[in-house]
Amino acid sequence: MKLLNNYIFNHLLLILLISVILISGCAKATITVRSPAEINTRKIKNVAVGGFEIGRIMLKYKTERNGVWQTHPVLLNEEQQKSISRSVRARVINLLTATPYFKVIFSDEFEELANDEALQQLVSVRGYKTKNVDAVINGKLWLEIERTDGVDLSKESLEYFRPPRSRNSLGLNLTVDQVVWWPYKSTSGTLGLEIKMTRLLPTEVVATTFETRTYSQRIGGRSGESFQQIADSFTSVLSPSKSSLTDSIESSADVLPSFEQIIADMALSIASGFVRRVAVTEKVVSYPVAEGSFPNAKILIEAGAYDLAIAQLQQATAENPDPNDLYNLGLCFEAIGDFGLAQTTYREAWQAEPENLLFAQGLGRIERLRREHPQLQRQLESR
Amino acid sequence: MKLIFSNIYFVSSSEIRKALAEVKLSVFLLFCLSAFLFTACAPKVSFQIERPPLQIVENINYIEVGNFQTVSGQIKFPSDATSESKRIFSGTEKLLKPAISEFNSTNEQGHLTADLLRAALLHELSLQSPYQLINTTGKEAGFSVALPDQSEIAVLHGKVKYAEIIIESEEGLSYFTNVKNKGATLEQSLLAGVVSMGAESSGTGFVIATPYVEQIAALEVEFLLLRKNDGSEVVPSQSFRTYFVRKWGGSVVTSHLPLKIKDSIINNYQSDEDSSESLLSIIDRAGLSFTNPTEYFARGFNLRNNAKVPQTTLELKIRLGRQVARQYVKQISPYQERAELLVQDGNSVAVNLIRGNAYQEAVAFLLALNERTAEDEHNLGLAFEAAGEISQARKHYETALKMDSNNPVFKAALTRTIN
Repeated sequence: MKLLNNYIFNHLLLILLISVILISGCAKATITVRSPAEINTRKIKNVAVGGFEIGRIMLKYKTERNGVWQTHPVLLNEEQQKSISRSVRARVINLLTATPYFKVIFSDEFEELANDEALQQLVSVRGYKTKNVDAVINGKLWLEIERTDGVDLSKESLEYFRPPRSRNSLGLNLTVDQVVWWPYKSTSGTLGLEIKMTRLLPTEVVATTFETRTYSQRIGGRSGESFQQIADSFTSVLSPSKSSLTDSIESSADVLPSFEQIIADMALSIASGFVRRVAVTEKVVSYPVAEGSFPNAKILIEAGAYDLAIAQLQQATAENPDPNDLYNLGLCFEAIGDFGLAQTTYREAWQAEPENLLFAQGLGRIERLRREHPQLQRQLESR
Repeated sequence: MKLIFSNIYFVSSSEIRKALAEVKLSVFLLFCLSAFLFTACAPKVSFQIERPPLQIVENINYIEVGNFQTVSGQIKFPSDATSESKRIFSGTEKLLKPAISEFNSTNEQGHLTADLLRAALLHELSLQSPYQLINTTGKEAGFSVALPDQSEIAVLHGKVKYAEIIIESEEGLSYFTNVKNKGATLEQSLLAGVVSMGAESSGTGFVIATPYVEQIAALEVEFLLLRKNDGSEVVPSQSFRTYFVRKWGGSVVTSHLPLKIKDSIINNYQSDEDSSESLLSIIDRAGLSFTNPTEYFARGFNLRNNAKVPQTTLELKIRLGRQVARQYVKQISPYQERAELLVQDGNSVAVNLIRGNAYQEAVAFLLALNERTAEDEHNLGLAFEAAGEISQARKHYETALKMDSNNPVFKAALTRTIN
């Protein structure tokens, strides 16, 4: 028995060894790279956040009984509408302050601005002189959330079975169709948010985005949406319980969230999208690392010590320009967001070994970044 | 690996032969795994192609958003549906009352839609186009500081027609219920099934009010791009239309809209809707929450979405507004498009560069070559096309076709660039 165990253990080792070799054959290091802002905001440091204008806010309850639909709008006074707009604005500010890129200046002067027009007047007509504010962010929001209480109808087959009690009785084994009413509650919401960043000197609209998020959830009703259920359970199992961006309470699939919760979740999503556009964010990617002559580089890259790796690699490649080391050096430059240097270094590596796909991919990544973010072109050229 | 491991561990206590079989199995599994890994390593040739604007815009560097006003009037049905309109209206059996026979825009609905359309347009212009945006509100008071030369500014105006019909109601659906004896023969139970289906479709069962929601909408926008100094048209004025129809609940076949029009709308304007989502992408999403949380939230993966819940009317408006805005921005601004193109077996260095997505490098490399084969010419055209220089691409496709006039790939490439 022991022999057998040993035999299998040996095989297992072999198998593990083979798979390790296979995996390392395309060695990929997980590295944290900075993704550039999609819009060039290089000279903007201090940002003030203006008011968020209200396009339309509509909350309503709907009921359906026997095919008769009734809608009860929730009437909001001006103050309540403003508080919704402020809560959305707070989400944007939250995320902006979380990036090291901007400094948010709090100033009543901007917060009190009702809309775009007022901002334009403040900036141009009155000849506003900036107190260390480089740009102003303002927005406009449209919101609609409804909650429905209704009934699904379906025909279901119910089975009736009674075993025979004695030898003479036949027992019962029937399928009976019945129409079944399944009560359900559902909610659906849409938030459209236009966010605009205006530079004050020289005055120009740096970026304007219009993003929409929707939320819809349904509880009860006819079961049998098997795929939806699987999907829901998957997301609830895999989704992060704690995240650095939000401390929102994990919502259960069996309870409809409140209007406030839906608004907060949608606003968070849109604000993240906006921040990704205007600020440098970090993401984790796995890019292949070359097997260079300088073995420490790989360890340094995997550990995220890019600056140290750059210093060492630059020294190593100055003495002996191994294209694999050059590629790794380019990878470090890419990781710290210096795309211009990354491109030249990748090109050097590729020129030494023009048929290496790895080097071509490095070049391609930078080219693609430049294509997809035309603003980056300017960021690169100005370096 | 975990799977294989447990397999072996489990087997270790049983007899040798069985164990060997299991080891074989695990080796086989390993091969599968390694094959999978290998293919995962192989680079995919994905092309993100930049297309030039569909219209020629000359000497415009700035865009100002002008007036987007709502006009009342009728919006035509999609053109391919109205051509045989007589036949449509004859078969109205499954048409619900009131039947929709025309889309009429009224001012009241349109104001909000026009505002949303303006926002969607600005979004597309800000992210896609090379133009600098000034005065995005459409109001008179613009930024007065250092305005550029008026002849470089184009003002974008629009006339918006919007019709929206939301019907929340019930329809009598017939439910024919059966009692089936399990002891019956197969023929008998099949017959019973057919009888009940026939009865339901002819309406002889219990007729029960079944709730449904149907949303029908149409948006038509006429765009005008005028030069600010003299009011002349930069590009000819153009109209874009888009439609939407969907029903939640009730019967699948009935609608307030004639079937033919409904089909035409779904085929032409709603092809992007795909509620089915693979389990794999759901797992991918969850992974994203760890590797790139900003992206996870930015793409709205923290939000639930259930296709059985009717969308809000706000979403309907935004959806249509976005569709029209995208169509128009393509006319005046370069845009990105995903395409699958075939790289030919030419110079291996160039092929390598194209496979690595480095198109500009590939162009520079191929142009520097003294001799190019037909495949190289094609690949050069490909690299130009991928980098968004269509006229250059066409030139090299033509050269490739001259060198090898029977190659179907070159022909296809040339026709693609001519269109």
